Amino acid sequence: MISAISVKNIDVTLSGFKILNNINIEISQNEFLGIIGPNGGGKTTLLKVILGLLKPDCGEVFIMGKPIKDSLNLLGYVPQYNSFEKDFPISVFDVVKIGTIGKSFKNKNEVVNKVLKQVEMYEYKNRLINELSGGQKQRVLIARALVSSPKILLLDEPTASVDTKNGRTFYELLKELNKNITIVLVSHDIGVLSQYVTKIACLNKNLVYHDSKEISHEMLEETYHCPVDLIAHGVPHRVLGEYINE
Amino acid sequence: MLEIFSYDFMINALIAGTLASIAFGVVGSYIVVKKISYISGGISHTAYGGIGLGYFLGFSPLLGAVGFSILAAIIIAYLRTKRNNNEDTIIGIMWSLGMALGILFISLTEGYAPNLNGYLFGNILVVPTEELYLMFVLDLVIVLSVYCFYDKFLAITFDEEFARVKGIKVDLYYLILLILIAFTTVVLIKLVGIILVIALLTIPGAISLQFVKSLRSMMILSTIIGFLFNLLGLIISYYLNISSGATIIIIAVISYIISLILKNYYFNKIVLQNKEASFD
Repeated sequence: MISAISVKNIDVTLSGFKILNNINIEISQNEFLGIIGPNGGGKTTLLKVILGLLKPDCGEVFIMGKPIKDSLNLLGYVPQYNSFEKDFPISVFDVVKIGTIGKSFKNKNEVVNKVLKQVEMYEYKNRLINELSGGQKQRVLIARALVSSPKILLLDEPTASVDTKNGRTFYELLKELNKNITIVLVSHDIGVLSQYVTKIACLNKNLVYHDSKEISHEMLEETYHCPVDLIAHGVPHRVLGEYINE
Repeated sequence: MLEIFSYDFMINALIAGTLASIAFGVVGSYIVVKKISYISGGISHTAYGGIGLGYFLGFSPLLGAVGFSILAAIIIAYLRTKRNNNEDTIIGIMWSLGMALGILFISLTEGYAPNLNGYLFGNILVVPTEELYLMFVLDLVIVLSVYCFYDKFLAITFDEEFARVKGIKVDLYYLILLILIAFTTVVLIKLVGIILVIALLTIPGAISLQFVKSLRSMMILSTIIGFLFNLLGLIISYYLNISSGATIIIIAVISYIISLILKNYYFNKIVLQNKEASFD
């Protein structure tokens, strides 16, 4: 089976600083990959390269075997929840509808309603997006990405702090979506992530990746260059150990 | 009081005001939500160079303004694609260079030096009929463009990066938007003048933003508010014999302050009452 995402020998230099150094990774279909690393470690940069927003110095990216420009409709992008213009007069419904641009639908409104229900935000559809909490905005942005039925979902530092009252938690929602969609999520929050992902990679200019979900002490040390930081992030190898023994 | 509209120049002024309201109601809404009033200021002030050139070479100053402001729009749109950090500085430089060129061209013009106060501060009472045609054409271009590209403009102004990921040609649509701002500026020059354009591009939008739930309704409300400013400004400036441009701006600023107060006191009170009601 072809890889959902194939990243080959990517280098990125921004304002004279090397941000990504020879990144290689094959992401299989229906994988749930968590990319962790410190702030400034190049996580968002790597996402931007995969999305075609940033041209790397060298190297190539293939989405389902095709170059990025031919595969934009396969990608669903979920930026950080505060990435859009503040005070913009736009309803939740209209935000999600933006995701339908570039694709033809029989009934756009019906599709928008459907994904809003899927992320449990249907009852908020007439509210202004800026009246919502961070977690609620996040769900709307997921709906905006889902509305074009992508094969791959890319999430940049999602906030998991706030959730709908009686619904599934944010990560349970992602896990549900993962049945049909490949998910790549970048975060500096190792602890929560480790319970839901199928694979983990560590990124700090270099990508450390062993094609498994186990994070070794060495991986983290190589990534964070700081063992104290490791403990502060919740001793992830212990959490993972329990999960794997099940 | 309606006898003031029995004069032809008053009818022209009223038509000019209405045409302008549509232009800045629609385009001004984008400027406010995208927070690009500085860019708009750069475009409108650069237009002064074109007015000077028009006098110097003997063609319509307003056409010169169209040319220079479109050139400014293209330069700014190009700078954005380069993503260098001096965009802000270069806009500031263009802003003053445009004004300086305008002054230079006019001082180089032989013979009678035209009174340029009308272009700097506006005079809605002296809009010739042929300029109304130009305003009408520009208005038509603005409204048609926004009608055709509404979804694309919405996507790029709300979340530029996401629009890029969706394959929308963000740089192209951004350039079109800046050119529409250039057109709007030209429509507004006769009304309030180059120096005061910024106020009318932003204040009606800023007032409506507090009360609307969509960009579409913001455009409609801004247009209505702008029309009322013009009408009121026209009547007051006629009777008191004072500058129409300045009068319109002062009315706009006072209205903005009142809208802020209304929003803060009146609407908070309603929210509070609703909350109390829900506790009962």
